[in-house]
Parts: sequence; structure tokens; C-alpha cells
Amino acid sequence: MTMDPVTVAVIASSLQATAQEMSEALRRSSHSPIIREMLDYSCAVFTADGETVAQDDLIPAFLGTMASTLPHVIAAIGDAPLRDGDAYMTNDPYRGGTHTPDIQVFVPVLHDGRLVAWCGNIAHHSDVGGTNPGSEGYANSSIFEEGLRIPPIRFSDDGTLNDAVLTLIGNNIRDPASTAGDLRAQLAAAKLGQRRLGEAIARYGTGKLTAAMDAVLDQSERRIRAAIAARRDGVATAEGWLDDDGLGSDPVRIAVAVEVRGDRVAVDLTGTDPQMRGGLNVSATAARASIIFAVKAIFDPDGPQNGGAMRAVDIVLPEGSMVNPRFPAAVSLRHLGVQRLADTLVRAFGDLYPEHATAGAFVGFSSLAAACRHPRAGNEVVIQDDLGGGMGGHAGGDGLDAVDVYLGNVQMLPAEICELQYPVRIVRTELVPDSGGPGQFRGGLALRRVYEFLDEADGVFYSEQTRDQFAPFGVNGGRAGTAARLEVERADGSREELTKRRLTMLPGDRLVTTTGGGGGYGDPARRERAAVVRDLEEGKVSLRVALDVYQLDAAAIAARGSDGHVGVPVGSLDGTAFTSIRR
Amino acid sequence: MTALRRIGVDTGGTFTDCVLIDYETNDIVVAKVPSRPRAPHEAIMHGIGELAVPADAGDGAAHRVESVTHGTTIATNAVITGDFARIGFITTEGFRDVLEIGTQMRPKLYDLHQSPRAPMVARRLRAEVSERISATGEVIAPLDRDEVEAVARRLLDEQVEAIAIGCMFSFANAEHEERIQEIVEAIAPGLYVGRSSRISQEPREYPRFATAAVNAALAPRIDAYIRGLEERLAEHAPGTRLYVMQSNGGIGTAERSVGEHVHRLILSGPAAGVMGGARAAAECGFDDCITFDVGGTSADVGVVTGGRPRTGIEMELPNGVPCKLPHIEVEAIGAGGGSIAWVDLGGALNVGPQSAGADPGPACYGRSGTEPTVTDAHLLLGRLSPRGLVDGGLELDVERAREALAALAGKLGIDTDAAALGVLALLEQNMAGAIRRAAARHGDDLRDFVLVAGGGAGPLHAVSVMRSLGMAGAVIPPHPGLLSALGLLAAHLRHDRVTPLLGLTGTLSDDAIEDAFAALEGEAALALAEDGVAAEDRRFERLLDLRYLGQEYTLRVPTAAGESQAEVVARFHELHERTFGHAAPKEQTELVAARLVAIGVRAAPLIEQALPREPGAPYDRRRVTFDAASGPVEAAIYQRERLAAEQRVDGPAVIEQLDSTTLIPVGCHAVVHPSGSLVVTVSEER
Repeated sequence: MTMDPVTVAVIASSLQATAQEMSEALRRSSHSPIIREMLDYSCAVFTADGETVAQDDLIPAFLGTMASTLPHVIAAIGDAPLRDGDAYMTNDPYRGGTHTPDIQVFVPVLHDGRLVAWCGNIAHHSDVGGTNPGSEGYANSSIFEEGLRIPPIRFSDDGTLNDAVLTLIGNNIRDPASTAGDLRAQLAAAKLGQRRLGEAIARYGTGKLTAAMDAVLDQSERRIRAAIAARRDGVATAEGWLDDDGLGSDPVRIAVAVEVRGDRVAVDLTGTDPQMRGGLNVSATAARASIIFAVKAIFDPDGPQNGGAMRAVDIVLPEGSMVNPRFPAAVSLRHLGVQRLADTLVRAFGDLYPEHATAGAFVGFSSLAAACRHPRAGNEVVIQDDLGGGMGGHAGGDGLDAVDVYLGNVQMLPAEICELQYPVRIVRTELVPDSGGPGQFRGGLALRRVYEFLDEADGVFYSEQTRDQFAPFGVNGGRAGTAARLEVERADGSREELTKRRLTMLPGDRLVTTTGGGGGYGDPARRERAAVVRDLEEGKVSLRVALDVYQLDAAAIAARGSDGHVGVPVGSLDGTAFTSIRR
Repeated sequence: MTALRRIGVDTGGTFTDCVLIDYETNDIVVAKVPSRPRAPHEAIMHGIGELAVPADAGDGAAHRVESVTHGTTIATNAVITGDFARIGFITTEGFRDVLEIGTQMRPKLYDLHQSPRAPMVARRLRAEVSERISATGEVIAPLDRDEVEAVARRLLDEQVEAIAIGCMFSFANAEHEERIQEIVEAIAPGLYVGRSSRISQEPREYPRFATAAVNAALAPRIDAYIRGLEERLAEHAPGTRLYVMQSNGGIGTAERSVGEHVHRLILSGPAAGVMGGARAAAECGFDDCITFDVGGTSADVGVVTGGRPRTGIEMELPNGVPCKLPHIEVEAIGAGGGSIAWVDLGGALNVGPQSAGADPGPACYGRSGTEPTVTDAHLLLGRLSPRGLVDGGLELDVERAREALAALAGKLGIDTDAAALGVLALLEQNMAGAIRRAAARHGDDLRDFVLVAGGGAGPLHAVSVMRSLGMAGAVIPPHPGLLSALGLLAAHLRHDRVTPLLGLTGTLSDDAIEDAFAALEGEAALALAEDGVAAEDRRFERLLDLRYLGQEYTLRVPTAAGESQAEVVARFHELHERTFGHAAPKEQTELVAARLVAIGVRAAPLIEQALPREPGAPYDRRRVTFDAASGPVEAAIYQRERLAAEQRVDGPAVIEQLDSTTLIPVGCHAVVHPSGSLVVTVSEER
């Protein structure tokens, strides 16, 4: 059926509203803060074949992930009849999943017994069992350390929730109340979507609805193809590195080859290192999400949130490599590799289109996850915090300071919430001067956070991108940003540096986390003088760097200083010496 | 009481709407004058003058206007355009960058070429002082007076116009912030100094600091604005009180709209629209409604349940900065009369969010606009009078509308009328989506709600959107374009107060909670007395913020004097179940804060509309296309002011009035309510 463009647009708007409505419902009814406050979830509507037609827009990590999983669910169902009250769940990274904490729920949309569409969602649960609280671990040596692995199963039969399934899951995880609550919320949200699709069928009929869904995907495909075709053809390669495999190995290589030809993009990761012993492997689905993110960001950042754009991308993920590992490799900290992959793709596309290039971003994701006692109630709680850093400079301007980049977008733990809920006092949260890679357009600044432990806490403390040679790269003459650094200062005055460690912190011990700064774009000597002076005044760049790297004319500063434009920094600012600029 | 006459003045981007109600004679006088962004007072005084209020002839108070209630966009515009005062910020050592780092989330997810947004306060103007309070309110590091003085002097050297203070855990112990304020005020008499503990008492340093910064950055300008208006009013109409609409839907005296209160005016305008919609629905007997205020660029959606607008505490400003203030939740989307229709690279039709605005305006305005807009589509389909708007005051050019839409139709490969219908169908679907999102946020079932149309363009879409959402009906108030101005006159004085109460339920005594509320009520009663509210007109509502241990966010649980914590906790579990779909009655709960809503009731008697006795007959008929299925149909065209109470108008019909046009599609009918509103329902399902 060929569709008129008006009906297609109206149905597309209605499906997008349905995805957003499911999203509001899931957020509202979820139990755990990771969903409600960190927004680590996503809701979508799919065609009967499992292609994404409409998806909400909260965190890029879930781009296309459900569409990778749904075909596995459909295959598992086989010829068994579908009923209106059925619902399926899975979290298996070896059947289209991302990592075990991300549980996906799907419900079919049926009309007269015939499958018309699917509604579903994916949400990060606070714990699904395994070795570490939260189920993630860089040192995990196999998927069996990463908690329950749920294959596609029906957990609601004809409208009745299968208590046996929920009981079995609850018996194997650390916070069963939270997971049960979140699963109910996921089911309720998917059923809301199912109801809305039912209304759409009543209004338009299944023929028109499915034809419109196909047309929406075709339009999105045409749109991205037009955007790709507008750019030059060419090939480029790049490599990016993880510091180690999580267990202290040599650096691990991600090799990227991109080819733009006509209106298609090919991404080939052949040459990427084999799968690792630790938990930093990237499931094929997560690798695809990273690739889709990069293609969208490079060619059409405002494009619609559906699977049409994926049709223009050909992907090769070598089997047995760290970006498509064989069972039973551990994959729980896939986020570190996913972010490094995105950064490497940005680098390759930057080589292909230097005029659109973006310098490297901080992708180290400096984190802590530790079990400790609630300061008032005394019960066990798990503190978790993840810190971002600088984004890269680009032809249009400086990189963003201190943000969670690329596929991530999580909030940092507010220092006041931290001290109220955990025995941890945050004593500093600040930007790090001189951390942004110098350039005509400077890289964004890194973050520093100092945590003081008021009670014993046991957990993992880790960061990627702690080696200088893998710090965020500069482009077109811009310089690299800084690498991350984790330090423990014990109450007795001893200090040690770490990259990924499980530790027990004692009262009075401090953790100093310094993330990385983004890379710079273009020759720093070409930076606008006013921008250098502003950075100096703002304490974002030191006088030494302004003079040596940006080649600022000292006389010019003094001259400006005398008419009062270069000010004395107020408050306790360290590291910069411009009190001497103005007398 | 002397003759009760009140004026409402709503300043919008283009027009300043003024309404005078005389509650004794039932007269409503209306004036619409152009806004003057550079001299807003002039526009307001001009508008008030247009109301032709007879000057006080010296015969006492016979003609005196009791009050002017003002809805203002001055704070809204300041936060949209970033027109802030240059301020300094003093904070705890180690935390001056909180205002710049924020949550570490980025404004746009997929844009690799976004540049940093300017922080509310430049880094060099954010000063740290050594001091620290713990989560439980103990002093961990003392404050150093000399250091504070030195820091303050340096900020003053930088010529700041105001200073905000935000220290860690000041909600648990405000001692340090208070001392900093004293020290700074001693050095800089006359400078505005605000502190976070006066402005928000809630944990989370970033939103609290940001709110204090926004407050201080607005205070110098808004203080001058409100004071200036007060003076002008005192000259023109001595004895008339000035009230200002606040974001929470209540009004405040001028005194409560300056200084530490100024940020509460950020949603003054939209809040008035929601209050006006709620009032119009209530007069027709509907307590649950969605307000739907459609202008040239955007549509604002508010949710009202049980006669009360849904309110929230934290909002985000256009520059991404969070602001903590009690406010009516308004869902805004870029969908209005000027919204431009366009086709993307993939051939998909889109409408908005770009708008042709008032200048150049839609193609049919005949200025320089050539892009097809929503208004062009209405005109082409006969929904808007070819004679133009505002009784011919604004001429419309059908041919220009047709040209603009023909170009769009060409790109889509369909005929021009189909393109016009398509633009409207998509726009209305987008509007319906926004309403569904707003309702989903609290689990509201739209079938129980009526849709109240406001703004010049609301009544063009209300019935169609209402029907597509399966809502109970649509209410078209007598003066849709004056919804906000009338809303101003329907609001009460309101104070929101809060005090932190951290502790597991059961560990605090019921007496301690009673004491906390008694203290809040004492303060609020004093404030209302200062506002001139008599004791019998004061109402207090108590709420307790509770959560399960381990949760970060709380629910506001209504409570009453003399209730035990056990009763409140039981209600919390119920509310959690209703709001979030689940509850855990066995889990430990925690008290976080006591809140008080203090209302100073301002009686606003129902205005009897002087409606004609005889039903009005159509004054015209024309071909109007309501939807693709029915095609062009012969529709009866009515004049709104001719419709009698209880008169029924069956679709297809168009009801025209000076400031708006209401569409009654095929299969729907309107009944004129005695309050003057049209109540539109579906006659038959097609």
C-alpha cells in the first residue's frame, strides 16, 4: 500500500508520542533511582519484524539495542501462538542484549490474532546478582560472574504474571524488591503502549498502520542517505586503546575502518584485539549502538529516533574480538569499550572530513561503587558515582567542560545527597585548570572530585584513559587533553595511585578522582587573543600555558591589565599566577 | 466594603491585555494595547487608562479600584534572553564550580559541535570561603570574618550589581550563610544580597545554588520594575493595591514580588493562563481539566485536578539551569498559529517548532512571510473568515496562503487542500501528544477531563484535539484571548513555606512535627496579616514530604493538625501506590520536610454574563473544510456575542468573535453555558 505523506506524518507523530508516554509512565512508576533519576532506560515501538519505529530520547546507549534483541525473542517464540496478555523478558548479552543489568520487556500488539507491532523497553536494574554489588566488574572473568542471564522467556501468560519467574529472579539478586518493582513498571509501560497501538488500529486499521510504519522507516532511511550522499566519498582508519583488560594486561586495541561511498557508510572493526579475560568486552549489540551513535552524530544529529537510519550502515564486527566476543566472555563494563569505540569513530570521520572534525573526548568514565552503612539507619547501601570530563574542541568552538560524553548522559551524585545517604563527604567538586587540550578551540576541562570516607566502605574504584598516550586526542594542530588520575590518600598520610582496584576505605581515607580534559582543535597560537585572556581571567588556563602554549604577548596582558580588564581571581584559586598581572 | 472593582493586567509579548471587573454591576471592560518591551509601565498605564476608569471625583471611594493584579513576562523574558544582572557568588571552599558543572549532563545528545553555554555567574565572580557545615548541621570548619570581607571587597571591585550566597548544607544550618550576608551587607549597604537558605531549603547543592544565583541575577531589574509600577499606580490611582501573579498560581503583594521572591515570577504569565482556564471550567461545573493556551508560536498545557493545578518544585530554565520554586507545571510545545510547515530530506512532513511569529507572520498577512503556516492552512480551508481577523482589523490574503501551501503540496506530491489539511492534522497530533505526555506524568486518565481553550488560536483546535483524545468535552471561555488576564482576577494570595525535618518516621515525636507546623503557621499568619488578609480569610494546608529509606525523591503527603505519624505513613503508602503503581508497606519510611501552603482567600464572585435572550441566528454561511473525510461542507457562521444561554449550535459551524474563532466540526455540538462559556461535546461517534 502506498501511503499519503500526511497520514504517515500523523501516524509517526502519534507513535513518537506513544514512545514518550511509555517513557513518562516507566519513569513515574519505577522503583530504583537509576531509572527515575539517572534515566538509564528507554521505551520504543517496533514493527512486527522488530524494527524500531519510534523511540524516546534519553540516553544514546540504548540506540537500536532493543531492535537487536527483539528478533531473538521472535525466534524463541517460534510458531507458538501469541496472545494479548503475553509479555516477554530477556537480558542475555548473547541474545542481542547489552549487559546483564539491562532487562528488556516486550509485548506483542495483536489484531484478530495477527501480529501488527511490538512495544517494549529496556531498563538498567540496580543489581541482577553475581560477584559484585550492581553486577558490574572489570575483573569478571566470565558472564557467570555477572548475575542471572535470562533468555527470552514469557513472564506473563495471557495477562497473568508468572510468580515463579519473579520468585526465582528475586532469590538470586541483592535487591529483589527494587527489581520486582521495576519489572512491574516495565510491564505496565509496555502495556500502555500496547493499548495506544490498539487505539491506532481502531482508528486507521492494521493495513494503514503497518504501511505507515514502513513508510516512516523508508523516509528516515532516505533522509540519512541524503545526508551521507551530501558528503565526500572516502575511506579512513583510526585506532583507539583501552588501558588494559581490567586485569592489568597491556593496552587493548580497537581498530576502525570507515568508508563512505555514495549514500552508504561501512564500518569495519576488523583488526580489533581478541576478546579479553576481564569484564570490558563489548557485546555486538552494544558495539552497534556505538556505531549508530557516531553515524547519527556525524551525519544527521537531529534525525528521527528510529531504525531507518541503520539501514544505510553496513557493520562488520569480527567474531571473537572484544567488540563481538564469544560466549562466555564477561561484558558487564561494556560502557568503557563502547565509549572508546565512539571516540575512535569520531577520530576516523574527523580524518575523512577535517573541516567537520571534533577532537577526542574524555571516555574514561571514572567511577566508584562501594558497599557501606547508611549514616542514620545503619543498613547496607551501595554508593555509586560516575564522573565525566572534557569534550573535544571543534571548528565551531570549544568543547564542553565536565560532561558525560557520547553514549552516556548520567548525572553525578550531588555532594549533599552523598553525605546524607552515605558515610562519604565530598570536599571538592571542581574544574581542573589546564586540563583542556590547547587549540584554536580548546578542549573542555576535566573534573576533580575529592571524597572523604567517614566510615568503612568496600568496593571497586576504577577509571579508563589513565595513560597519557591515550589521553583525548587533538586534531588539525590542536593538542591532546589530559589523562585521568585516581589517587587514594590514607588517613595515615600514605598515598597510592590506582587505575582499577577493589579496596576497603577506612574513616579518614580520601579518594581524589581527576578525570580527563578534551582534546584541542587547531593551532593554539591561532586562538583568539580575547579567548585566551578570558580563559586566563577565568582561571581555566594558567599564565604559563597562556604564554608558552598560546603564545600570548605578555606586554599585551600587562597593557590590558592596567585598564582593568584582566582581573584578580577571587576566592581560593590555585595554580594560576595572575595576581601579578595587575598591581 | 466599597464597590468592588478589580483590574487584571497581563503583559504578553505582543499585547498587554487589561480587564476591569465591577463585581456589583457585573460589568467587564476590556482593553488590548500594544506591549512596549522597553517601557512596559507605559503600556500598562495606557491600558488601564483605556479601561476608562472614571477618576476619583472626590466623592469618596465610589469609583475606586480595589486592586490591580499583574501577570508579567519580565522575569520570563529575562531568563529566555539571558538578560541577567552581573552578580557575584560566595560559596564553600571547593564548590565554586558547582554552578558551571551542574549535573554533568549535556544539553544536546548527538551534537558534537555544541559550545559551552555561559554559566549564570562567570568563574572569576564565584568566590570561595573556608567553611563547612556537615549533613547534620554541625560546623566542621569555621567561618573566617576577615576572609569573607576580603572576598566581598574583591567582588565589589568587580562592580557586581548583586551578590548571592550558597553554602553547603545551609538548609541544615544557615548560620554561616547568615553571617556572610551580614558581613557583605555591612560593607555594601544597598546592594542586593540573597542567600540560598532563604530561597530554597532543600538538599542538592546545584539546584539550590542555581536558584539563589537566578534570584540575585533577576533582583536588581525586577525590583526596579515592580517598585516603578507601584509608584505609577500610586500617582494614578492612590489607594489601589498592586498584586503580582506568582509561578505557583497564587498572587503576592508587591512587597512579596521583590528581593528574595523575584524568581517566583518566572512563570507568572503561563500560571495566569492555567488559573483562568481552571476558573472557566469550574464555572461550568468541571473540576478536572486540561488548559490549552495556544498563541502564535507555542501551546501551553496545564493539568488541573479537583480544581487545583498540578504543581512542581523544580523546573529548568531555557539556559538549562534548574530553579527550585513552587510552580504550576506547564508543558509547552512549539505549535501555534505561526508554526511553519516543512518537508525534511527524507520527504517527511513536519510542522514547527519554527514560527513565523507576528513579524513577518504567516504568508496570508501579506508582509514578507512566504513559508506556509498553520494560519494559512486555516484560511485556505475557510475556517478563518476571508474578511480577516479582529473584525477586519487584520486583513488576510487567501491567495498568498494558497501560494505558500501549493509549494508545500508540490514537495509532498498532493493537492493544496490536502496539504493544508495535513498541516493541521499533524499540528493537532503534536498537540495531542503533548497533552498525553502531561497526563502520563501523574497517571491522569484523559477521559475524565475537559479541555479548556485559551489564546487566540486555542478554540480553532480544541474540539478536534479533545475528540481525538477521547476527552469528556471542550470548554471555550467567553474571552479566550483574555484567559490569562481573567485568571489574574480568579487567584488567591498564596505563600508556600517549608522546613526540613530529617529523620526516620517514628524517631521524631508527633509533637515535634506539630511544633514545626505551628511555627510555619505562625510565620505564614504574620505574612498574610502583613498582606492585609483578615484572620477569617486565611487557610492553611499541611503537607509532609516522605520517602522510603534509600529513595532520593519524596512524595508530598497531605496531613492535618492532630494526625499521628502512623496515619500519615499509611497515606504515604496509598499515595505511592496511586502515583507510582506500587508500594512497600513493610519498608522503613523517612520524613524529609514539613510544607505549608497558606492561602489568603480573595473572594471573586461569579460574574453573570449578560447573554442575549433570543438565540442568535447564523449571520453567514460559507464552505469550510473541517476534515478530509467530510471534505468542504456548508457551515453556519455565528457571532459569539449573539448566542443566548443554553443555545445549542450543531456542527458544522464556525463561531466568530473579536479575539478568536471556534470550530465546531461535523458530529459535535456546542451549548452555551450561563457563565458564557461554550461547552462542546461529541454528538455521535463516526
